[in-house]
Amino acid sequence: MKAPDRLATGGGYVARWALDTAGVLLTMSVGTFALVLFARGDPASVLAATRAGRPATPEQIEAVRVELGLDAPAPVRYARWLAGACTGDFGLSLRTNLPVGSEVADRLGVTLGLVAGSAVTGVVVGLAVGVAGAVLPRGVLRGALRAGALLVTSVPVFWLSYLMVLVFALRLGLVPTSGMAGPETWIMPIAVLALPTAGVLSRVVAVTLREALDKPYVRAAQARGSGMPSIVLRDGLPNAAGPILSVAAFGIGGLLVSTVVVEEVFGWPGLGSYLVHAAGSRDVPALQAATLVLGGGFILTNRCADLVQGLIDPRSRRRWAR
Amino acid sequence: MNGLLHRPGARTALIAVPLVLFAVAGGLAPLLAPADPGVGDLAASLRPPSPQHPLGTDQLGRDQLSRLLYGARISMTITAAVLAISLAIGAVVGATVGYLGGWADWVVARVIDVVVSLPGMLVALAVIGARGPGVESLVLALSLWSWAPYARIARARVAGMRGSPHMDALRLLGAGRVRIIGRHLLPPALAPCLVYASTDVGTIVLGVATLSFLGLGVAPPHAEWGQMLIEGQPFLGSAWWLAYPPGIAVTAVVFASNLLGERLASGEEAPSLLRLAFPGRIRRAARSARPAVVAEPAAVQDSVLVVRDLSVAYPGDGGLRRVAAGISYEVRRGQVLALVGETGSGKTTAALAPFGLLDPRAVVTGSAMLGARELVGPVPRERRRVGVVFQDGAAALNPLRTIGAHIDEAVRNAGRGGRRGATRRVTEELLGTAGLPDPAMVAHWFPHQLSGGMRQRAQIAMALAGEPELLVADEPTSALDVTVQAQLLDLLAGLRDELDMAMVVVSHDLAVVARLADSVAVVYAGRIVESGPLETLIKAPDHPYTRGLLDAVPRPGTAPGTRFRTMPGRSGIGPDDTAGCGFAPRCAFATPACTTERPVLEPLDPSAAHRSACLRHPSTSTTTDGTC
Amino acid sequence: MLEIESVSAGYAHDGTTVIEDVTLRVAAGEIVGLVGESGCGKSTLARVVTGLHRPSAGTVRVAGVDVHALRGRALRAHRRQVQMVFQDPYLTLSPRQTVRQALTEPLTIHRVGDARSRAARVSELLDLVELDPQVGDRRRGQLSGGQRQRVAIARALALDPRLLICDEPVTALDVSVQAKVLNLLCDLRDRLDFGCLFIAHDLAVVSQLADRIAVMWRGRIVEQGPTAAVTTDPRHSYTRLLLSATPTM
Repeated sequence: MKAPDRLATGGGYVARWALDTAGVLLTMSVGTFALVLFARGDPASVLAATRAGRPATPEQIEAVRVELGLDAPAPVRYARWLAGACTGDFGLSLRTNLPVGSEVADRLGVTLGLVAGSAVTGVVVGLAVGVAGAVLPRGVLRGALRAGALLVTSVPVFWLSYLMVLVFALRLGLVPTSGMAGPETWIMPIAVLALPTAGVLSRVVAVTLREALDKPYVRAAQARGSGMPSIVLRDGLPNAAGPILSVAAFGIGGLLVSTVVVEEVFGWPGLGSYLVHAAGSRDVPALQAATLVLGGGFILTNRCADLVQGLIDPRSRRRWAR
Repeated sequence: MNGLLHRPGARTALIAVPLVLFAVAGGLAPLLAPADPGVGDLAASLRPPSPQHPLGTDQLGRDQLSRLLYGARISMTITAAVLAISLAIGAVVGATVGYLGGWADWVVARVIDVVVSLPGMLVALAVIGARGPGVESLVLALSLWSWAPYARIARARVAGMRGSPHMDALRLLGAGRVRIIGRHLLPPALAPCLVYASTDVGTIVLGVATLSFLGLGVAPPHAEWGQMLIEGQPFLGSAWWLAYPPGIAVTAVVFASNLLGERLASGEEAPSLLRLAFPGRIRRAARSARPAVVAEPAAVQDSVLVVRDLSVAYPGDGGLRRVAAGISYEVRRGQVLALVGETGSGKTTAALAPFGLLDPRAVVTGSAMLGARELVGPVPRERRRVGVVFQDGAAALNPLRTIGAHIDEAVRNAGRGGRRGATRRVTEELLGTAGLPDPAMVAHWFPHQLSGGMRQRAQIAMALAGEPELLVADEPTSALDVTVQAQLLDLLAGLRDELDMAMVVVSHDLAVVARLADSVAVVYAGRIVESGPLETLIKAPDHPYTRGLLDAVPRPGTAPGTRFRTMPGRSGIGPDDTAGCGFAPRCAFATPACTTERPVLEPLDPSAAHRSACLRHPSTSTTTDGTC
Repeated sequence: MLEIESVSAGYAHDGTTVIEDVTLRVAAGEIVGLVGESGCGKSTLARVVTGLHRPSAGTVRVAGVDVHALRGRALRAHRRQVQMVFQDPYLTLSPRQTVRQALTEPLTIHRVGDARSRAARVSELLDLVELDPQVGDRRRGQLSGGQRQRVAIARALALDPRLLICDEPVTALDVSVQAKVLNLLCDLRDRLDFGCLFIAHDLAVVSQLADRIAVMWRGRIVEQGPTAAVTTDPRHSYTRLLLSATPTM
């Protein structure tokens, strides 16, 4: 038996993690590219028609096909597409004939702002409600908090948006119904996105914190004279951190996807509404780009949580190093 | 699934009501709907609810209630299709590769990992974006990612059982592969899959509604809940009846599904944290409700711990149920008291109750004096004068903290150490005292890196941090090899002698404590039935139960095949389950009086050191004949 | 009955050798005790003997047949001869089966008799291990530790094996229950005359029961002989250490 070298095992773990993450991202890129193979309709004829403004002739379509490189075998096209994607070149939108890369870049900022705002709000509210749910005695207040948390996770985001518009914009006139302009227009989209995140998170915090505090080592800590705040901080939360982190990351990553609905309802020019319009018009290059960016963001958020969790837990570190 | 079916299911059934309504509405929509969902009367558009149209009409004059019912039908059909595909593919693929292992398992596990880590809604959006909307696209898009969790659950469950003794036993009995997978692996793998499915219903219903809302799911002439909302969007401000019913329907189904999944997945509610934080408050209340009778001889001089008439009860179906009653014992400086009994006898309860280390729901009454302090009642802040060693060292140590961190904290709690370096020096000293080689290195290790014996030594080091007058050890050597056990017992004996410490050791094995104890208290059915000096108890046991325990100890040197003298029946009753002696049903000496009259612990010798609770006292046969 | 000839075995995934050059015999009707600390290779030896694990060298013969030369149907038929009782009966019994179902299963697998004769055999087995007939309708969770181990023993004996391997069968039990299970094993051996390899870490337990004792240390058998000889006149230093550590009164 020898003492574990923390740095070496940690380094091995990070390398392993990076490799796994790259594998998942690459697999996702293959799936995203494959969309073009499943697509109904021929992208070349769609783009040719967009350019001509009317149904295109076979010669025009063939010219576009060669221009887009659609005549090459699938693996070659995948390699070209991936190389382009890495430099931000996703080809031309079938709908607008504009470069998809710059359209996505324009809209990404809006979506990231929305996600950041609702992530912070959701995590703060979720942690607070969750700790309360774990600490409060069994009773009306705790029951109400828990039921409320479950309820907001069950309400469909699109309906929640409608309800808020109905009440706060139409009935009370406190905020505008839609659009993206001043700070007041940010309130409702952020609230709609943050509520379910907070709900999911609070439930996990309440359950895992309670579970951690019921462990024998908490009893042992009491036996050696530690006070309750110290036990919660040293024995409770660190041991509950794994599930809390995973769920928080899953929720924040999920926000990226939820923006699809919220941007659509509130008429925001973000990546989510871009994706919906691309899907609605079968604009495959735009669809691929939006899917790759949103999906990649989702995966990276979750993988980062895994990384942190693994670094916290000495047992998993050793497991990975082996 | 047995556990699920046997659980009192009233509340669970109540939770499932929206799901049942959903299924009924979906199944019987053509019979229940008052009108054709697709045909409207433009003259009767946007009418509020009325007897004719209970939920009003939409902008095309179509009956909202009928559309809602048909919406349930389409939603349910898609959900059922997706669930059937996912469950079948997931469970079969997962169970099969989980059992086979090898490269197939590795590949499938990777695929599952990737699919599970994809955002489901995004996959669905992308697939529908490429294929165009429609019911088939929807089913394909949702199934494409929803099978993976089932495969993961089934695989994990089966892989966990593959190398288990249960499977070994089946293989030895001659069971073939088909029998093992079909009879013994698939059913237990399906159970958690079904629990997951109860939550998945909500996810799928929500997915269908969301995609339809975005115009990518069920196409317009059909009624679908999300579809109804988007169609009614322009009129939401004026026609409220268009905004609420579809939203409420989706929410109710998803809510019920989430709640049901949660209930099925988790067991019963854990006790409130408040009780964990303030055990004293609750105990005091319980104590005033049930005054304790203290009628015992005065404690001997230099007693470290004096326990008198201690009772422990837990709330059960019919009120409080006692698990230990009338427990009295004392421990003197430099002495080891052993509490001995079978599993469920209440020996651990008797040892830990004075220090508030039981389940927070326990109601403790009686008295326990540590020096001059009463421990039962207010929050015992004097706990730190007591060191505790638990049976399972792996569970009693926080897996995320190093051994050193545990002991540092104990040292600081005891007000020793001071600065970081100084604290660590005390820690290392303690580890050395507990007989761990190279304390500086061990302090950096995590609990899982230590052997069972080393973990127990680490616990002992931690227990010593507060320079306690008393050490309580609950089955400290039960899970260890005999050689390691002997070393630990010798360590404890050495500590007693060097530090002049008092100890309470709990064990089921008289032979183990014989190596260490100065006196012994034998616990049966929650009461002490005999106590006295070790020598006396072993050489001249009085209580038939003590004799039974002694007879069960194997002795090297007896002829091979010699039978043990055993006690009939089994332990596990509580102190209030019989009117007379708890041991009478198993006792060879029992008389009719034994089942009606409860014996008290009475002294057998002039010094009152040896006591036994038996009406017949077999060791002093003259009195036996006299009383009967 | 059992002949273990210079058997070595290890695990391929980490390349370790767990047992080395072990030679041991168990005659019909004989109980041989195998003692050693945890991790010494006792359980691996049990898995090799029962055919669950393949040795890297040496042969294991049961009733003259090389266990590891058998395949498929012949192996399954041969398995009726060797059965095993594990340390934790909780893990070897299915949570879903009643005791009766668990005891019927080996008879069904080997197509012994019809439904009626199987039911009769199950009642006979319950009686054999001194369990109340009504215990037959309970499931794993409703049994005490001692009862579970009795069920495990009954199931192992359902097919009338000629050799019984007991891997730490009483380690998880209270001493008072342990005594009863050991008595039962002695009685059963006298009645059914099977050979028995009894594995434990406690020399006191083994010496009360076994006709001969083998002491295993770091994968090798360091001493074997009649029980009285090993316990009164130990030759190897590890045996002496074990004896001194054994709790006695």
